[in-house]
Amino acid sequence: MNRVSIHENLVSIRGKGGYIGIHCGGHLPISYMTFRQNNTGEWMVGQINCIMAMTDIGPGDGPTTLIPGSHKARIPHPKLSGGTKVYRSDEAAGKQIGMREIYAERGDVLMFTDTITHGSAERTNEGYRRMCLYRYSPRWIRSRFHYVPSPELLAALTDEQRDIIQPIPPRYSPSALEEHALNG
Amino acid sequence: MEQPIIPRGCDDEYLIDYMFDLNGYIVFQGALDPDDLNEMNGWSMTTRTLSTALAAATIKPMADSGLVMSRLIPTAAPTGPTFRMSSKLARYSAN
Repeated sequence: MNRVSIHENLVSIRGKGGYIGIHCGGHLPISYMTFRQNNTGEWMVGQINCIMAMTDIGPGDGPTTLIPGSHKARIPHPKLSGGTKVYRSDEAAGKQIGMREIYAERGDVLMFTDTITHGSAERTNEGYRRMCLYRYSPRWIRSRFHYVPSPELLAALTDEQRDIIQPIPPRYSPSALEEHALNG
Repeated sequence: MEQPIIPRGCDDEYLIDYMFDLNGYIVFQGALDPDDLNEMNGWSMTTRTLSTALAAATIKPMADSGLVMSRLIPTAAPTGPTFRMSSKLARYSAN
């Protein structure tokens, strides 16, 4: 019904000291932080992350961490119980209560609802962890940083690919269109 | 089962749905095609100034590579997906 679009694609290369803080959870009243539709009980997974391991990811590599089942939490994690209740960047998520490190071999894919409380552990090993992330959203959510695909990119896609890269074409103001025309 | 790990080749959609619903996450073992994986590692190895350069560059090479959505979205798998969601998840994700 709401169909699928790409919210964000990225490659992450994490060196020593890198980490992500704890964020998200079922307690958040954010429109896309959903897992089920309350009235019908059907799945309505607002965002889905697919993390593709490009290298083996084990202890000390700065793995993704998450709290199993926290997508159904009704109250915030203790670390998220104050302030915005969304994100804490002051220390690695891996240190927080209930977090589980998710290890993977290269070629494995970790798929999770963005509603789950997650983040990463701090990388303590030398070298780098490489992963690729695809995040899928309902089509009515713009891409994270609002990039507008180039005509060349759109022309290279199949109809099906184009439909999730740019499900709703941008609509420019007259002045913006004029500026585009002047700049070629 | 300590972790919700789905072995390569497993097509038990009920099990996959149950594990995802219960835990909120799943690990698909060996889901990436080795050739795609090597290509993806090629992108990252040749791009050294990552935090800024990749932010602008990632979408285009992914799409141009041809591996993008045909391998990763549930409804498009012309050559046989190396990673796919269950039909139920495909139906209800972002539904």
